[in-house]
Amino acid sequence: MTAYAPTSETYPGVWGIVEVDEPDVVQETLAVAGLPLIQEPVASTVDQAQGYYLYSPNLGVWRHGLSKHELTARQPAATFLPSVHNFVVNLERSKSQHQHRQLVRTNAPGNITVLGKTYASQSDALRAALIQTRSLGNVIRILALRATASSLLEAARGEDFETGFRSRLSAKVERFVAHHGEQAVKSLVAAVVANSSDPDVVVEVLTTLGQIVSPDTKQQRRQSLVASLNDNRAQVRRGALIGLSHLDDSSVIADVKRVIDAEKIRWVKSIAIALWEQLAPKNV
Amino acid sequence: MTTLMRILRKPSRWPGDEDLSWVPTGEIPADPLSCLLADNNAWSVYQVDDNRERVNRVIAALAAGRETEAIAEYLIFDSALVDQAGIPIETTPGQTPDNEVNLWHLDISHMTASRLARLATLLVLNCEPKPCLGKEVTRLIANSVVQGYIPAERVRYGGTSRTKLEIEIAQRRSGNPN
Repeated sequence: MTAYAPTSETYPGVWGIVEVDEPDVVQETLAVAGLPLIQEPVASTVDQAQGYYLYSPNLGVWRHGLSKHELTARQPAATFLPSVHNFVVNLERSKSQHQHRQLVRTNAPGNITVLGKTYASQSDALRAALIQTRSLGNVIRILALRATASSLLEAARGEDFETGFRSRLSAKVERFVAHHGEQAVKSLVAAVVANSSDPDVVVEVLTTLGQIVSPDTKQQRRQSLVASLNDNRAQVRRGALIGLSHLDDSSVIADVKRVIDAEKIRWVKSIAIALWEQLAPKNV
Repeated sequence: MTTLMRILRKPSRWPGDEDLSWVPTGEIPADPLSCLLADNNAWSVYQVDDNRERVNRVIAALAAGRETEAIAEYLIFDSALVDQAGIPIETTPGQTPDNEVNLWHLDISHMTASRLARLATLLVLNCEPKPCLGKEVTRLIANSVVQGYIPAERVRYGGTSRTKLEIEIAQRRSGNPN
């Protein structure tokens, strides 16, 4: 995911542009935040924007049409932020104006227009934009968490996992959830659902979500693991069952029973049966 | 013929519901081989002879070497499959903290790549992993500790897993196992 510098007044109320791999996720996120979707045709956006490019639900099309590299080639003056994640993290840390300016000073300066006003530096432009569209900042935070979750999974590809031994990934997942709470859990599970390549990584994340000892996120972790039981990949369902076995919460017993009834892969079904026995031993 | 047991190291590579229509009849995809890798050209297995108590003892003995409570997924299979793959079996002492379990240890030795592939094919086509969930694994370790099969200090569990184990052990010693 990449964040682009602020848009012009052509698109009032929007200052940031986020390119993502999953347009559906963005739409859902905007809907949760109560923000309207901007249904701009991709081609006209590219033609009209003044070096900066607007997020729109048509990003799927845009992504195929124009890469970041191609955008830069068309508009050499365009300035790109390092990443949404770095920006948000640094912004959260920046309690004083001084720190805030120090952060953005690392980027190339330029004349940036936000909602009709031109600013000489990115820091001024971003600050002005943030004040006016704080809710979009929340959206970008959510998107940044999702990007971070995806990058955690991506970085773990090839890690040598062994059952019963703490992995680097599980330590990172624990820290991520500790810092960002329920939204981190949602982001991780969204990343797991989108991750189609490495079953070891998927299972490690879901197992870790069950192992985390934190009442603050327990409900969200339980909900996310239960939702993962519906995944169409056996390894995701297996990981969710293992995660739930660590959570050891008898409130999910009906969901486990549903898996037992529906599961076609026998060795996954046997995990569900073992979990059912763990959660309801006295009812057997 | 005897019944053998092996705990899988990477069970997430066992075939699930992915499309395997491209795999020729009688063959298996390559991914499950990573569940079944050899170490020093051999495979550690335990002779359990359809005895549930032995299976539990082996799980406890092997899981005692883990850092955290975790599921144990294992295969139970007939030694005839090993014979069919043309691989010799040797009796060698195990390395677990349970001395009796070590006597049940066997090495499927002289494993070559082609022998491993033959054995893996036979196992994937004839067996399925069986689970023992983490909580139950901890109970089995606690049981082995209380029974004196495994010295408590040789269990590597740390952190919350260690705490859970110690609670289980205390409950058993007080005569109130969960």
